[in-house]
Amino acid sequence: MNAALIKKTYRDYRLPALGAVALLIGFVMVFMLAVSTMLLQNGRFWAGLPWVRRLMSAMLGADIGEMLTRTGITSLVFTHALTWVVLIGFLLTLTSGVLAGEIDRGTMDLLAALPISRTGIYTSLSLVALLFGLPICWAVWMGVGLGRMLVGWWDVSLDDMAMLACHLYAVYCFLTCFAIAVSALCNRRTTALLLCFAVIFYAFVVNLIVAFWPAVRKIAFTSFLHYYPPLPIVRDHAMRWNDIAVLLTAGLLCWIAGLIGFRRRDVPAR
Amino acid sequence: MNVVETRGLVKRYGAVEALAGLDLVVPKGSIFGFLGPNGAGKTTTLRILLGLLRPTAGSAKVLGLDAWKDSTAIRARVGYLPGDVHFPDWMTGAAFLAFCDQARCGGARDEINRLSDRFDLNPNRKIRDYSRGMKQKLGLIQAMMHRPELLILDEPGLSLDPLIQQIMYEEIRSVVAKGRTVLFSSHTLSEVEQLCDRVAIIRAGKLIEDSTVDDLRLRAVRRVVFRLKNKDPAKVTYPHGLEPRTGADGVVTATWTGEMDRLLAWLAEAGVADVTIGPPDLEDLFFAYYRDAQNA
Repeated sequence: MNAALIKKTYRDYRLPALGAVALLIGFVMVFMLAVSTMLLQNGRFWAGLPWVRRLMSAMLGADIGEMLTRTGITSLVFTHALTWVVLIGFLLTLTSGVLAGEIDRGTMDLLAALPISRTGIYTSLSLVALLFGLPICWAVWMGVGLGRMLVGWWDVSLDDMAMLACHLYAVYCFLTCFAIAVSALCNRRTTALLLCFAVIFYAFVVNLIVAFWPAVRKIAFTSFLHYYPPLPIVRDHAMRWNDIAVLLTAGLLCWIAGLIGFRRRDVPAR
Repeated sequence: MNVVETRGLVKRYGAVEALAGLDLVVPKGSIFGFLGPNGAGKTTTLRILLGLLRPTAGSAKVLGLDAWKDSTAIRARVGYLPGDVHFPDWMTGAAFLAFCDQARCGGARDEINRLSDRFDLNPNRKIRDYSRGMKQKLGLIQAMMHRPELLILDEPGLSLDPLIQQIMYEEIRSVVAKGRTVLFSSHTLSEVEQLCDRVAIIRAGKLIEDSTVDDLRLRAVRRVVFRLKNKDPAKVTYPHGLEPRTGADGVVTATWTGEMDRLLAWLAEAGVADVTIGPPDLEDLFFAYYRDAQNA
């Protein structure tokens, strides 16, 4: 690893990370405010609609009817579309920018001409990407903490939300490792983004289809969302260590594959 | 000691052979020019030396180390200016140089300041606000700031004004005077002629010429203008290497390729009333190599 490269990458991406944190905290607080005044009153109505119920079970990993409580509803923020947009948007911006983006821009020549090994470059950039995930994933938890003060939902369990934040971070780690491996093997930032987006889109589609078409359940394991069911975590008040292990192991394997490929590949001129 | 040695260096991109068995030797303490037409394999060679590309076959050694396996150690001792240099343009020049310095374990601040003054570059501006020439200066500074043993410069004079080019030449000569080596690739033939001790010309991935500049000058074309005494130029037998064109009043304008002694001996024997011999013109020689590449 190289301290100079770590510092530079941190400086380059700290403002977008700060923006992501602020956005998530703000969104969660607004969500809780909205839910506290509108949705909860009509929660049973919405949960009674079959397609809404299935949609929410796809997002939450279990039937919302099992836990139509404030904690259950609040857990939606950990799988809300906006949360995913911010999280995935940030990690794809960073991971595609640091390797494929450097080659695409032509700045990789100067970086690769420094006395930093390819392993050093790869691990330094990975470390920064993974560390940024901590404040971003925990921003959702912070938002819940502030939100419950705002709306007076003191019965929302912060311990349960903390478990969700840990699981969310495991998903972040998997996606980051996968995305950085893709970036390490691509010459164009657009190619890296498209490949990552295709895999993520596939995961969301499979996760959604499974809720409406049980026959697809046999391929549900191919989606990373299969290993991130927020509602069962808060329902059972327990971490799902198997799911975390699968996500982290899959992430590590992707990361190693990316490292091997990056060490062996040519760095073409722009 | 040779600073760079390649033996049978081959690089293929699928069916395309960029290098077809290159044997290149760069002696220590020299200014070595590396020339060739577009697509000849110059940049590919330089990138292999820096560990950016992996050879398909053959070997490449820099400072005695394998260019691929020991590339990190090599890059600690080498400075590189890419042919088409790009920077992270959201940084200032100073921030970028500081990053390079920190990545190389520091110690180059004084040299950065000296080179910034020498090249007249304000490093405190954002790189995106730099002109092309200013970016080239920044590239030169980042290549030279850590006093590398080997400086690899790809088209260093690009976009530089003549004054800064002269300063660059002085810095290059100063580097070599301290026992270090400069390997540079250029299309500016006058620059090569002015600076280099030795020149290698690559074409279609192979070395076709590797000589000192002085040897090249001996083989370079000279323009010769003379008037013979009491002889009809059309009836004279000219020596091999002299290509004459007779003009008005019996004045012969010719090009000469070969040893000067031979020409002077023939002129003395032929009996000349007047003669003017121009300086050696390497451009014609280089263009001959480039033209052959195009025809091939």
